[in-house]
Parts: sequence; C-alpha cells; structure tokens
Amino acid sequence: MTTVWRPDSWPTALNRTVRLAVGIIGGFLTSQSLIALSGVFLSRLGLPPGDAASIALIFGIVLFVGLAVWIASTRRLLMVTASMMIGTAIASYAAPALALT
Amino acid sequence: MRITDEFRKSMNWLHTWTGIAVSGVLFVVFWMGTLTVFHLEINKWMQPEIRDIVSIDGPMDPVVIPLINEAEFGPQEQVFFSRPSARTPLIRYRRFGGEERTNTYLHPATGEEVTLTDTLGASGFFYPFHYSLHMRWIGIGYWIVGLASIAMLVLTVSGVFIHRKIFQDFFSFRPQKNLRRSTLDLHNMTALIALPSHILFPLSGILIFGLVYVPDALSVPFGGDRASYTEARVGYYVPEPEGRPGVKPQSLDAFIERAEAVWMDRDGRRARADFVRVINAGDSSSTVMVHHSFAPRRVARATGNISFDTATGILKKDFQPGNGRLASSWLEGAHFMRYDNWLVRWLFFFAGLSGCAMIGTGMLFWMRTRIRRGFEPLSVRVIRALTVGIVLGTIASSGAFLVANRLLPADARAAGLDRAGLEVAAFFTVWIGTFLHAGLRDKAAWKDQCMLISGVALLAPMLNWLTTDTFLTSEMFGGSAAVAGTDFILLATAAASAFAAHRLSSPERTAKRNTATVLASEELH
Repeated sequence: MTTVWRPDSWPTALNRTVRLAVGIIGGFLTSQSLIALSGVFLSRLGLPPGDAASIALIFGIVLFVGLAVWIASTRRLLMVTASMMIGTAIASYAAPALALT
Repeated sequence: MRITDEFRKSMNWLHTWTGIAVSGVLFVVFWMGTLTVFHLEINKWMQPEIRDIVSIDGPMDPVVIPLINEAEFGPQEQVFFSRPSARTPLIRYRRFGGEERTNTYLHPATGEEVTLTDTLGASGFFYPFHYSLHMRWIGIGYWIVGLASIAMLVLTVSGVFIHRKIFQDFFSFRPQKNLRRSTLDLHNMTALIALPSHILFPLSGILIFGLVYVPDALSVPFGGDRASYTEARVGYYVPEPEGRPGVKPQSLDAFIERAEAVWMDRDGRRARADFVRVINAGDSSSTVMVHHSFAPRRVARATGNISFDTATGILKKDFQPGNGRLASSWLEGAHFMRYDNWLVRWLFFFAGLSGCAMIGTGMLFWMRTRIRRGFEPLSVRVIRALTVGIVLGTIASSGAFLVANRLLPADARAAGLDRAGLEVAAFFTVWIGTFLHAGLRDKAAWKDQCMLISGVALLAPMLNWLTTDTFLTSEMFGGSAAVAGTDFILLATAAASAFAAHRLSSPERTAKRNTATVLASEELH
C-alpha cells in the first residue's frame, strides 16, 4: 500500500526520480553550505584561508558523493532530506557569521 | 560493515539510473580528455609550421624587448610572453586589457611572427570540449561536465558496492560467452584496470573549476570577497593604476633569472619560469610577474609566482601556495599532466581509453538488457542510434576534424565561416550525421561506423603525407616524434576499426553469438 512518508512504497520510477532529484539538488546545496562552514572552521583553526577553502572543497566533493549514496539507499528518505535542509540552513547562516566575527 | 542485499540493490539502481543520465556526456568528456593528453602533439600535426622549429632554452630579450619598445601600452594593459618548451617551441605573445589585442606566435630564434595554419587545433577544440562541451551560454557546459563528474564518482562508488564477488567479477573476461556477458565482463575489467584514474580525473576536474561551481562557498573564509579568494589561490599581484606614464622593462630575462634564483634557494632545485606578464604595462605601477606553473619533475601545479616593480626591480610579492593549497594543486597537476614523464603520459592516455571502453560497454550492456526485456522496436532503435552516435560517432567526427584540417585550403571560407570554423563545422556535421545514419541503419550502423572510423583514420595520415611530404617513417627517423606518434595512433585506430567491422560483418560469428545469447539468456540478472 502506498504510504506518503514511506518512499519505498511509492511507484518505483517516482521513488527513484525523487531520490535522484534530492541527491542532486539537496546534495549540491548541503555540500556547498558545508564547504563554506568547514572553510571558515579550518581558517579559524589557523590555516590560511586559501588553504582552508581548498581542503573544504575536497571535503565537499566527498560529502556530495556520500550523500548521493546515502539518499539512494536510505529507507528514511524524508528524514534524511529534512536533516539535510536543517544542516544547510544552519551552515548557511553560521558560516558567514563566523567568518565576519 | 555488512553489505546487505537491499543496499546492493539500491546501489544497482543508482548505478543504472545515473549511468543512463550521464553516460553520453561522460563518454564525450573522457574521449576528449584522452585526446587532450597529447593536445600539444596533435597541434604539431595540425599546424605543420611548428614541426621543424626547435625549442630554445635561451634568452628571450632579443625577441621580446624590441616588441615592447615599439608598442604603446595603456595604463591597464597586460602583456604576456610564454617561454618556448620542447612541446611548444614558440613564444606566445599576447596583449590585452587595452585598445589593441594581440595573440601571435614568435619564432624563438629569429623573433619573426610564425603564420600558423588557421585552426583551433587540439588545444582550442578538443581541450575546451573536454571541460565545457563548447556550450558557452551562461557557462552551462561547465555545469553539465561538473554534474557528470560528480555522477562519475557516484558511479564508481556504487559500481564497487554492486559486486558480491568483487575480485572474481573484476578479473573475469569471457569473450566466448554471449554478448551481454562479455560486454559486462569488459565493463568490469576496464573499470578496475584504471580505477584510480576514474576517481582522480572527476575529483580533480571539479577542483580545477571549483570557483565556477561554488564561488560563494569558497569565498566565505575571505568574508565573501571572491577577488581575495582568487588572489590566495593563484597569487596574482595586480596593483591599482597610478595614472602616471610608466617605464618599459629593459629586460625580461633579468627578472626571470632573479625569480628562478629565489625558487632555487627555497626549493633546492631548479624551477623554470613558464611565462612572464607585464601588468599595467603603460602605467607607473607597472609590474613584471614571473610565473612558474608546471614543473617538469613535480606533479603539483601553481607552484608560485614572483612580482617585481618594473621601474625599480623591487620584489613586490613572492607567492608560494600553502600546504593545504598544495594538496589540491597536486590533484589538479595530476589532471593537467604537464610534468615531463612520457611513460605516465601514455599511461594516462590508456587510462582515458579504458574509461571510454568502460562507459561504452556500460551503455552497450544497458541497451542489450532493454532488447532482452522486449522493449518496443522503436525505443530500441532510438537507444541504439544514440549509443552508436555517442560511442562511434564521437570517434569518427574527431577523425573528420583532422581530415578537414589537412583537406581545406589555407584561405578556405564558406557560409560565413573561416577555415578554423569550417573544421569545427566538419566535426559537427559528421557527428550529427552519425546519429541520423545510426537511426536509419539500425544494427548495421555498428559495422558501417567502424568502417567510417577506419576510413577517416587511414585518410588523415595519408593526407598528412600528401600535404606536408612527411610520413610515419620519415618522421620516426629524425623528424617530429609528435607527428609520428599521431600518425601511428591514427593507423592503429584504422586497423582496429577495420578488424571490428570485419568481425561485425562475419555471418558465422553473428549466428554463433545469437545462439549463445538465446542459450544464456536467463543466466544474467
């Protein structure tokens, strides 16, 4: 029986399309905000900002791929998506604020 | 961590769906990247004027100072000179940022302008195709390639997880089995053979264009100032113009010597300057920047640049990337493959071919599965046309680009296109033609287009012979190794494609394959 909050019960094509869309859009937004946050965090630890940004970018790419794999395989897609949105919102707010203080 | 069947299944669909979405783009990016490994050598093939010029590792002043003295520069104008090297023996001279724009190539010994064949060459066509698909509108090509690169990493990770018996699967190649089985075996094998490069290339490719994809995120540690991030990344020193006329440099070699001495003292080994810029050339803030971007014995790129005041010679900035940046620049340098190691360059070339084979066989396997599952004939025809056009059509049109380069007369012009534009038009005409042909010819398109590849790959060195009077053998013994290598690869491609066409047209083999396919149709998942 189709249950709205259980993606595994959705039609296969819809389930997979939603997961791909969340993986691409959510993965990009989340990794972008966490690149910013980790860049600021590393520069706060004493790394030159250019070095911090470079390392943060590598971290962001690995995170993006990890998120894609997680989103593809999780049963709790809605919870993962909500966590990503909250993480993105916090990081998007915190990173510039930390950078300027 | 225990890998459950459920996880494997989810990785399987992720692998399949991601593959369907991006395999076409990935094949083109990998193919163009493979050609780009030797883009400077292909340039020599396409521009015969360069072939006999010998690189000189000597002073540049006799060539460049007269040019500087003759010119009148604007306050924000930049002048750029590249130093000749074994792979690019000419001095490139560029002026930009002012009223006059110049982009010429100078003979390193005589200083005369070398008139080159009007072509984009491999550096101007295959190279940008690799990272931007020549789609410049709002930079969409960069984004498509970036997304495909992330997808490639996802494909690699999910591809590893799919296999229950990973080593057994990877080392099994059974060409005598049915077509689907042997295609899948080849897909697994080519994936494993160059697995590190399948991770390295997309990862480093995204790093190179990080500023295109996530400019705001990268500039947050700099308070959101993108210019500061760019300066920290590449270290360019661009002073504000002072509005007073400046002094022209009387020697660039002197600045190069000083910069190389600084690098020698710091690193304990010789670092050769690659190019020199004069920034704000017509202003009193004029600065000479000596750049050392690719070291012959180091993988990392962007190893440093030093800026001097043109008038006083005072060192204004000595940029050296930090350790964090070096980690990233090592990956980027590995992608650019500009270090002086031919063995690694050839390995990268074959890794690129292996990537093409992996993607091509993945597409082929998916197509065979759709056929087995009884897809509508029209759908199968469309899938087949797309697969043939992407896999074989891309290769054939690359060959057509080289053929057009040797066929078109020097002053060719048609339909508002110059000679270089006509070469590009030849590429796209053949490419589009291969899709249409595959749609019309269906199964027979495989054989036809293998023959087409064989034909163009044979025609190109023949035309090179006829138009430049040099052939593989004469180039091998005392001529240009770059030209000999390009001819050799073309002839090898012609032979391999002819062999493939022959095998595809063999009725006995086709019948045997069909029987094997029917017998083993239930063997695969």
